[in-house]
Amino acid sequence: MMPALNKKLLYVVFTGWCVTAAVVAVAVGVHHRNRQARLEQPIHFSHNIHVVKAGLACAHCHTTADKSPRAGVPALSVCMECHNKVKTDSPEIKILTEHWNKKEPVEWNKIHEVPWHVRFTHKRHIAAGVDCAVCHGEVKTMTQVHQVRSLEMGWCVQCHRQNNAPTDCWTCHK
Amino acid sequence: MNRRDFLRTLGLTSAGALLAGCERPSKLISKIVPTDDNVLPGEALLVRTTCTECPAACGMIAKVRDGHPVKLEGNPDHPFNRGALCARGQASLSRLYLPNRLRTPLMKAADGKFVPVEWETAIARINAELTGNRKHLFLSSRTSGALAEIVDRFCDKRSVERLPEYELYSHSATRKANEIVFGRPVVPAYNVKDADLLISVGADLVETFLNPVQFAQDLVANEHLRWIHLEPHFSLTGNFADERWTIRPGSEAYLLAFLAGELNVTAEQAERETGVKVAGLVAALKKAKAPLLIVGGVSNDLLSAVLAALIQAKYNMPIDLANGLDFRRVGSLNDLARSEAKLAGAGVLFVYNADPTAYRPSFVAAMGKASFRVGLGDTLTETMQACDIVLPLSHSLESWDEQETAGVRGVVQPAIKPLHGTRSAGDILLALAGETRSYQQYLDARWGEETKRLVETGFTLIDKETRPPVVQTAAVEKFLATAALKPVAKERVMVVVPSLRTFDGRSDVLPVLSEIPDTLAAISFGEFVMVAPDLGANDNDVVRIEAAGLRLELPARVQPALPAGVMVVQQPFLRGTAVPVTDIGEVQTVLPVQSVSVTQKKGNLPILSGSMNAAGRGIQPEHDHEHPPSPNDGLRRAGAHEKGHAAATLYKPHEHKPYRWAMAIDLDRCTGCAACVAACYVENNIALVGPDEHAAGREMSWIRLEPFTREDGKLDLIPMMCQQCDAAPCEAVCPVYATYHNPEGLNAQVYNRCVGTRYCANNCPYKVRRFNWIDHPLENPQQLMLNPDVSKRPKGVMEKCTFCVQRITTAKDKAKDAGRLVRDGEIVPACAQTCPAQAIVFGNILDKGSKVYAQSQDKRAYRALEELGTQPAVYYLKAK
Repeated sequence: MMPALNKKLLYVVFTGWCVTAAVVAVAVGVHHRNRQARLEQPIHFSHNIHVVKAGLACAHCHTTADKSPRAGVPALSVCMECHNKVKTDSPEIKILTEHWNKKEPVEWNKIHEVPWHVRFTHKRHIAAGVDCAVCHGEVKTMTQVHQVRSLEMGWCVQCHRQNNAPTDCWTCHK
Repeated sequence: MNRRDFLRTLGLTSAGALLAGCERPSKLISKIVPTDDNVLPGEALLVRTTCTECPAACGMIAKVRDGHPVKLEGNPDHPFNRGALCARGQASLSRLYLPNRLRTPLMKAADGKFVPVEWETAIARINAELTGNRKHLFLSSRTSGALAEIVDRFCDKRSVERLPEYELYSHSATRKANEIVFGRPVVPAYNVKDADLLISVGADLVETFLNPVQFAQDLVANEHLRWIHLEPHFSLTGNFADERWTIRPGSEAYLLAFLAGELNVTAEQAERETGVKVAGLVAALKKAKAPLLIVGGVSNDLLSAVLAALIQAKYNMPIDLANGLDFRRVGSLNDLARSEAKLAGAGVLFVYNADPTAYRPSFVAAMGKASFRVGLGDTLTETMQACDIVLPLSHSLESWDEQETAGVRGVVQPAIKPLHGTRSAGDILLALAGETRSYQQYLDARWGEETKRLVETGFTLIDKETRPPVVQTAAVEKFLATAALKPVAKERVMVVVPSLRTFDGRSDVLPVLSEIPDTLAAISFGEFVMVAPDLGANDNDVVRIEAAGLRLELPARVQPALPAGVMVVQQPFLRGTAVPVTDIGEVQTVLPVQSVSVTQKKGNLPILSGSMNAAGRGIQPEHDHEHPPSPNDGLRRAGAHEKGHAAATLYKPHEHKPYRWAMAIDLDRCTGCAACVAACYVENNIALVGPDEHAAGREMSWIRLEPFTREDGKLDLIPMMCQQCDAAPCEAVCPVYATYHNPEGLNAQVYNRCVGTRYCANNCPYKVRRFNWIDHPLENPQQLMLNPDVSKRPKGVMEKCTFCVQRITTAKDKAKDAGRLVRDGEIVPACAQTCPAQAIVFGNILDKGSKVYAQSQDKRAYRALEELGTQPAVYYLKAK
C-alpha cells in the first residue's frame, strides 16, 4: 500500500462523508422547519379558549363534519358572529377582522392529511359514533392544533377490524 | 473544475434537490360566508347549461367540484337528448381547459408577431379602425337567439355589413329544396319516433346528422320500425340500420325521381342507374302506414332534396318545418366565395368563431385585402393568425348565452368564472356597439319572467305551431322544368364524410377525441382512407389519389363492406385543401377519382382492433336467422346449468351480500358512437398517451368498441371493458394482492399496492387491463379537469374499468344515510349514463326486480368467452 494512495482515499471518503452528513443535516433541518411551519397558523386560533372556556361544541364551527366527506373550517362569518364585538382589541382578532373586511379567505395550514389515493369521509365516521377526539386527540385543550395519531393505514384498519367496519380495499382506496 | 469545487457543487445541488422535495403544507381555505347553493364540500354543484360543440345544442349538466366543472352529462329533462351526450359533448369539457387557449387579446406588431395587449387597447384600436367610409364586414359561424340579435345591433350601430354565416355543413340543398317545394327555406325536424318505415338516403343519422343523439334514442325506442338505409359507401349508420342497401354514388336522384313520379324515370331505369331493387322500396312504401324519408348527409344535391320533399308531401310524412335546427342566417359555400370577393377594398373584417381558411385556403390571401382584421376565437387557427387583433373568447362554460333552435330555448350559464382574461362574444359586441350593459343583463331583460325557470331547468320550450307543409306547385314545376338528371359516375369515387369524432374538424383540438378510435376503422391518431378490397391494398399501404383536383397520399384501411370502387375519406383529413363545392354551394361529397395507385410506402396507423375476425371465439355468437337460439349453441342464460358441463373449481364460490354488481349491454342497441368511451375518459381521469404509444398498442381506454367483420361485411361491435369476473384469471396471479375480488363482486385494483409486474394483464383473456407505461404529466390547467373522486395513476401501475366504483360508493353512502339498500337505477356508471341508445344497464344482479337481472335472463343473453370459466359479470344481449 502506497502511503500517498491511502491518504488520497481517506481524504475522498472523509469529504464524501462530510458532504453527506451536511446534506442530511440540512434536509432534516428543513423537514423540521416545515413541520413547525405547518403548525404555525396565519391566526393563532386556540381551541382551548373557544371550547373549554367559551363552551363551543365541535359542530358549532365544523358544521359539515357529519354531513359531508370533508369537515372543513368555518366560514369567516361564523367567527365574526362573536368577534365583531368580542375581544376586538386582540392582535389575532385584528388579523381576522382585516380578512373579513377585505373579503379575503384565511388560508389555514392543514394538519391532518391523508394521501392522494385515499378516500376518507368524516360523515360516515361520525354517524358510526366515532368521537372527534378518537382521531384528533383532545383538540379542545390544544392552543395549537397538532397531529396526535399516526393516521397511517395500519392504524385505520385496526380500528375498522375492532369495530366491524368494512375492510374492503375499495372502501378507502380510490 | 477541481475536486474541491466539484464536491462543493455536488453537496449544494443535493441539498437543493432535497429541499425542493420537501412538501409545503396544503391549505384549508375558509370561505367568507357559507355558500347558499346547498352543496356540501365533496359534493357536486349541478349547473344546467347547453352544449355548444355542434349546432345540435343538446341540454347538459355540468358537475362542478371545488369551483370548476369536472364532468358533463346530458340534461335528463331536455327534449333533444334526454340525459345522453355524444362523444364530442363529453369531450367538450376539455376545450375549457386547453393549454393553448387564447388568454389575452393579441395585437399584431410591426414585425408580424402577436403581442398581448390590454382589452382597452384592443377595443380602442378597433373603434379607431371602424371609422372611415370603407365597407366593414362581419363573418361568423351559426348564431341564434340573443347573440344573433346582438350581432345585428352591433352591425347596425357601426355600419358593418353582416355576411351570411359560415358552416361547412350548411344544409343548403335541403333549405333551398324546402324553399322551392314548401316556400320555407328551413332545416326540418324529423319525427322518427312514430314512423313504421324509415327510408334514409345518405343521412348519417346516428353519427353527425342534425342531432344524432336524438335520432339514436328515438330509433331504439321505436320498436315497430323497419329502417332501410341507402348509401353509396359504408357508414356507422348503415351498419346500425335494419337494412343497408348500397346505392351507386351520385345516383340518388334517379331513385327519388322514380319514387316521386317525376322526370319520367321508370322503375327499370332507376334500378339500372342506382343498382337498387326499387320494387322492394315501392312495396315497403305501399305497406307502411307512417313512412318517413330522410335525405341528406352525403346525398346533398339539390335535385335529390327537392324530390325528397315532394315524396314527403306525397305520403304526408311528418316533416316539421317550424321546429328544425335554426340555420336561417347560414349561407352556403357559394356565399362564402362571394364574401371572399367582397374583401377586396373592404374596411374592417370581423371573423367570429369561424375558420373558413380550413377548407378554403384562398380566404387567407383575401383577408389581406381588407384594411384591418379582427378575429374572435378561442385558439389560434389559421384564420385567426391572419388577423391584426385577436380577441380571446370565453368558453360557453364560462359565459351567459342562449341557444334558440329546434323549438327550444337552451340557456348557457357559467359553471366557472373565466379562467383567463377572456370575454364572451355578447359582452364584446355590446361594448363595441357602445352599450354599457353586460350581455348577462341583456339576457335577463330578454328572458324577463322566464329567467328563473331557465336557470333552474336549463331550457324552455318555444314550440312553434306546425302547419302541415303546402306544396308550391308553380315553383316546383318551374324547377323541374329545367332539372336534369346527372349521368352516374362509373369509375372509382372518393366519398367525403364528416368525422364521427370531430364533425367538420372543429373538435380536433380536443385531445381526448384523438385517443378514441374511429369506430369503423378502429384507428385513433392519423389520417387514412378507407378502401374497398378490390383496390388490392393492404392495411397501412400508402395510396396515392387524384380526385377532383385534390392530390392525396394517405395510408389505407381496408373495409370489406365498402362497395367496389368506393373509397371514403373523412372531411378533417382534407383540412388545408380547397374543398370541392357543388353548384348549390354544398361540400361535394362524391368526388370522381382520376387516378389511384397503391405505393410501396407504408403508413404508421395505430390500428387498434387487433384481428377483425372473431374466429368463432364466441365473443359475439354467430348470426343465424334461420335457427333460433337453443341451449346448446353457446348462448347460455344466467344460472342455467349445462348438462355434464358443470365447471369444476378448486375455490369456494364467492358470497356476495347484499350486492353483486353486474352489467348488461344490448348489442342490438349499440350504434358504435363511442360516447361511452369519451365519458369514461373524462370520469376516470384516464391518461392521454399520444400517437407513439398508440402505435405500440398502449392506449389507455378502459372501455373499447371491438369491431369484428361478419360474413356480410358489416361489423359486429362489442363494447368491451373489465368483465369483473367471479373467477378472474387476473386475481390469482398478482404477487402483491393488488387485485382481488371484493365482497360486492367487483374485481378491485388497488393502485397504491401495484408494483407493475403486469402478470394480471397477461392473464386476462379479454385484454382489458391497461398499464401506465410512462408518466403522463398534465399541462396547466388540465389538472383542473381531474375528477377528485378518482386517483390519477402514476407510472408503473395497472388500471382498468371499475364499474365506476366512485359512483357506487356515493350511492351506497346516500342509501346508508337513508337507512336502506341502494335501489335499482340509483347507480349509473359514466358509460351507461351517456349512451344515447341506453344500451348499457347496470345494477345489482341479486335483486330479482332489477333491470340488469331481467336482461341477464333474456333469451338473447350470453357472456363473452364463457367457456373459459371466468364467470363474467357482464351480460351481452346478442344483436337481433
